[in-house]
Amino acid sequence: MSLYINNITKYFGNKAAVKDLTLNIDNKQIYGFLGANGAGKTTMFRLILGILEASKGTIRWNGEPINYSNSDGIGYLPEERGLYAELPVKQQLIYFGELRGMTREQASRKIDDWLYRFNITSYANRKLQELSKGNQQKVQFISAVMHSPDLLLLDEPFSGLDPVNVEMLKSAVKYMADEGTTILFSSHRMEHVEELCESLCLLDKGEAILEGNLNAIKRDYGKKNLHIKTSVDLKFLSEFPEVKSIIPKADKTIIQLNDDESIQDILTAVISKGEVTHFSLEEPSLNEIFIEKVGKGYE
Amino acid sequence: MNKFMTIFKHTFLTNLKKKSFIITTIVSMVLIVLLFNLPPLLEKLSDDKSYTIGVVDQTHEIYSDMKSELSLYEKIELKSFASEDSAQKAYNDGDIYGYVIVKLNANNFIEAEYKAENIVAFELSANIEQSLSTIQFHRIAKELNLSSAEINSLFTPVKLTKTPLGEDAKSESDIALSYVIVYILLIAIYFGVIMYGNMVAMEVAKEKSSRIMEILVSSVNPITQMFGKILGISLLGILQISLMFLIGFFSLKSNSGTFTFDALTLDFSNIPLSLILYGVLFYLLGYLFYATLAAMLGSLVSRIEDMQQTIGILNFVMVAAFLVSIFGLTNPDALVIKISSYIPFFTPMIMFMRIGMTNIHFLEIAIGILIMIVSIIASSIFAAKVYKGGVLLYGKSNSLKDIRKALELK
Repeated sequence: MSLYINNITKYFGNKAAVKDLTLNIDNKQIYGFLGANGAGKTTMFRLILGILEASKGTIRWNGEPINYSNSDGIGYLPEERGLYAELPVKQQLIYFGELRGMTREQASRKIDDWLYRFNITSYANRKLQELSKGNQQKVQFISAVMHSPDLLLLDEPFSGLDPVNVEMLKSAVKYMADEGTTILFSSHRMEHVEELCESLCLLDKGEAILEGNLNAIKRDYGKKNLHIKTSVDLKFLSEFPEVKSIIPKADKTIIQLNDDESIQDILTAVISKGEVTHFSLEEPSLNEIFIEKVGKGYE
Repeated sequence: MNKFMTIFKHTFLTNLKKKSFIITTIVSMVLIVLLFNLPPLLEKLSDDKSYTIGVVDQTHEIYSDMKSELSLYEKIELKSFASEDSAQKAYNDGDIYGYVIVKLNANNFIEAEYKAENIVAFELSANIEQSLSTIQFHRIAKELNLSSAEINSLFTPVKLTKTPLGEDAKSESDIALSYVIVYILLIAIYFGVIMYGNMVAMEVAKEKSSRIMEILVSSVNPITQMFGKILGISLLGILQISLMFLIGFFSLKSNSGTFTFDALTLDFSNIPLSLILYGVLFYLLGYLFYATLAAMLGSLVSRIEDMQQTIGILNFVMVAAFLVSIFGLTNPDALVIKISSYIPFFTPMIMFMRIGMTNIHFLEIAIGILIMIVSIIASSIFAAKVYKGGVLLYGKSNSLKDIRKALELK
C-alpha cells in the first residue's frame, strides 16, 4: 500500500516543471517535499490530486489512479489559502465536509472537536473575515483534515504563522500521522522537514536531487561536523587530512569532516593545547547537504 | 449526485440570504406594483384646475359657437374680450391663463392666434384648434348649402373587414395580445438570461479569486460543480421572476384585468398557456447555454474587476439577439429572422418570437429546441474542460488566449 509516482514529467509549454520523477511513498508516514520557490512542489501536489494531468508517467494511490471516485479519502491544504470570507466558520466547514462525502452530523461533530483543539470554538459562528490570519489558517487546516483522509497533502502549511501557531499545527500534523494518515508535506524550511519527516524528496528545478529516508540520507552523505568550544586557536587542525573546512562562529567553531575515524586524535590534540568546554559530533543539516548538492546557497 | 445537491443547495441558499438579492427583489416588486397602478395614480396626481381663456372675437360671430364646442372640455372656460388690449390687461392681472384672437382672412377662412404664458400645455391649444376647425367646417358647409344629412354622409367611414386566409392564422386581437405577451416575455428572457448568467460567472470568479476553487476542483468534478451552481442560480432566478409575475398578475387583476392601449383593449384572461410555456422553455434553454459559457469565462479571470470586460462579448451577442427579435416582432416572416432563429445564441428569443407572432410549424420549433440542447451539451463539455484548467490560471486576463492556455493546462 503506497503512493507510487512513476516517471512523472509535466511540461508547461516548453518548460518542464517536473522532470522524470519517480517516488514510492509508503503509507502511514510523513513525507517531505523540499525545494525553493518554483522547484515544482505545488505542481507535484496538483499532479497527485489530479488537478493537473501529467505530460508523461502515472501516479497510483494504492494501485489506483486518483480521481473523483476516490477523492473523498484525500485532504488538501493548498499553498494559496482559499475560504469564503463572507461565510461563518462552521457553516463553510460543513459545506467542505459534505463535498468530501461527510454527512452534516458527522461534519458538525468533527468541526466542534477541531475548533476545540485549536482553541477557536468561540469563532464557530463568526464570519471568516473577522478572524486573524493565524486563525483563518487553522480553519483552512480543519477543512483539509476534518474528514480523516487516508492521504493528506499539505502545501507549505506553516508559512506566515507565528511560532505558537506553528507548534499547534505541527502537533496536529503529528496527531494525524498517529491516526494512520499518510501525509505529504512541502516546505522551503529545512528545519520543519527535518523535525517532522521520516523520508523526503529534495526538488530542484523539477528534478529530485535527493530522495529517501532522512537518516539514511545523512548517513550516506558521510560527512559530519565537530562542534568545539575552546580558547585554543583551532587553525592547526587543517593539518588533519580528513578536515574539510574550519568555520568559526560566535560561540564555537564548526569543523567539517569527511569521515569520523580520527575524532579521538583531534580531541587529544586540542586538549593538549588548552581547555575544551564543549566537544560534540553532529549530523550535517539538510541545508548543508542541499548546498553541497545544488552547489549554491538555498535561502 | 450527493455532491451536486450539496453545491446546488449551497449556491441557492447563500445567494438567497444575500442582502443584495433581498433588496433587488423587494425594489423590483415595488416598481412593478407602481407600474401597473400608474394610469389611475397619474390621474389622481394630475391637476384638475380649469383654465380661463380669453377670446377676442374680431368676427363677432364665432364666440358663441366656440363656447358650445369647448363646453365638452371641463378644463376650459372661455371669456369674451372686446379688444386685444383688454385681454392683455386681464392676463396681466392674472384673471386669465391666455387668450385667442380670432379673425377672418381675405378668403373668409378663420385665422386665430393663441397667446399664453407658455404653450407647454399642449392639450389646451389642441382643443382650441379642434373646435375652430369644426366651426370652420360647418361655416363652409352652410355656404355650400349642404343639408345636415349631406354633412353626415361626408363623414361616413369606409368599412374594412379583415379575413385571414392562412390556415389557423391569428385574428387581429390575437395578434395584438401575442405581441404584448411576446414583447414582455422577450424582455424577461433577455434580462433573466443576462442577469442570472452574470450571477453564475460572478460566483465562479469569486471562488476563483478567493482561491477556493482549487479545493473544490480537487474534490468535485467540474461538470458537477458547474451544474450545481448553474441550476442553483436558476432556481433563484425562477423564484425571483415568479414573484415578479405573481405580483404583476395580482396588480393587473386589481385593475380589472384589462389594459387599454389606445383603441385596443387586451383581455389578459385570454393568454394562451402554450405561449407562456414556450417562453419558460426557451428562457431555460437560453439560460443554460449562456450560463455554461459564463461559468467558463468566470473561471478564466483572476480578479472580479476583470469580470465585466470578459463577459462583455457574451452580453453583446445577447443585446444583438434581443434587438433582432424586437425587429422581428413587426417582420416575423423576414428571411433574416428565420435564419437567425436557428443560431444558438439567437434561438431562444427569436424562435420564441416566431412562435408567438407567426404560424410556425411544430417541426421548426422542435429543430430549434434540438439545436439548443445540442449546443448546451457541447458548451458544457467545452466549458468544463476550460474550467478545470482555468482555475489554475492567474495573471492578467485575455480571454481567447486564456481559453487555449486553460485547455493546455488541463
